[in-house]
Amino acid sequence: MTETHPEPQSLNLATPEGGLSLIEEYELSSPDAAQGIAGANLAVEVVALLARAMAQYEVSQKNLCDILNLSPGAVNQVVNGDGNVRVATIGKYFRALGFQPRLVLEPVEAGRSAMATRATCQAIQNDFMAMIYAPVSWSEPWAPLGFSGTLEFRSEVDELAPHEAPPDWIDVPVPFENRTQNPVLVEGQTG
Amino acid sequence: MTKVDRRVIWRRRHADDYHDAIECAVRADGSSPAVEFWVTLQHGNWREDPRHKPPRDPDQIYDWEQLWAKIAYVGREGCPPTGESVNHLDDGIWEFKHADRRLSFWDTPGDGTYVAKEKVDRRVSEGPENCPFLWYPKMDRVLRLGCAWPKEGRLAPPERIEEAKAIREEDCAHDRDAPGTAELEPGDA
Repeated sequence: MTETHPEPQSLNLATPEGGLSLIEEYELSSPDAAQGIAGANLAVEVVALLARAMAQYEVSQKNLCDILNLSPGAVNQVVNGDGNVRVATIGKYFRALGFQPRLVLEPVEAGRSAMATRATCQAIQNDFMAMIYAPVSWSEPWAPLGFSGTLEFRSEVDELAPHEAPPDWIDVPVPFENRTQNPVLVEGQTG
Repeated sequence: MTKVDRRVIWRRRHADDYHDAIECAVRADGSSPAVEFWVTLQHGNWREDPRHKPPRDPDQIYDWEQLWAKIAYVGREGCPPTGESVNHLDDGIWEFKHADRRLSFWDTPGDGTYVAKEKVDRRVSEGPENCPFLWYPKMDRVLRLGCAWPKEGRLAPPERIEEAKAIREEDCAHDRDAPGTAELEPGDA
């Protein structure tokens, strides 16, 4: 008796109409697919940020083992893993590197706005304000980013202190449509 | 040769994304090992995997999502998410790594040429901005995916590396023979 085998899956090599990438097709195929991709993206962001923080502050895996009092194997599994670890574990690792991790929700569907807790917004705002108003080591014209005048920068994180906005601080509202697009900067453009 | 339509795995969504597109390379005969790998892994049916659990291996489906997320990260940032996500093999052939899955890739400007990018020995200006991995080079705007294989030993099988190089030559020839077709306009990746 001859065994029959199913036909091999036919593969469509042509780019589909509308120019969707394979992953965009998949994301649109079902809620499950979109959720799976969102989970994988977040997991990769976690390990990427961990690696970035370690590199920037020159913390080796061995240093991290010492700080966390964990075995090299355990740390390696997180640092070089797929990021799919307990949320509390993520918190411990980033705290060991000197950070409190926080979440920001980026809208990917119509009718949603970016969301974060008040503390997260405050943390971002504090760092931004500190960057602008902290002690100065150098300065440069800010025209390329669409502002006229000069802004001054801090030299080191350690120099930071709480700063209040100066009285001439103006809160400029940004139209929503501009927030969702990346501006194309024109050299010499001023606001 | 005629113009080929390459399946796009990832494409630029924001102006400041690093790469324009990450595409599946196409061989001279029109086949695409990367598409075959991609689609079969997505359905948990990649039979080269010695640990494949038919008919739909949940580990493969999970790894497919994770691998895609790593590739997309490289597309956006121009550098790998971790130092273990990619590896240079030989002569500008690199591999994406996730679990036991390996997928070869290289970069090209999309005009039928390529400059084989090796690991950067010293940070001068070769690396992408803000990349914490000083050894990762500044790649050209298009990445092409070649063949895939399961990790079975410490080193990548030499025949797979050679296969990836052959695919690169055949794939680039499509662009040389159809000038202009690989020129990517914004939003047309």
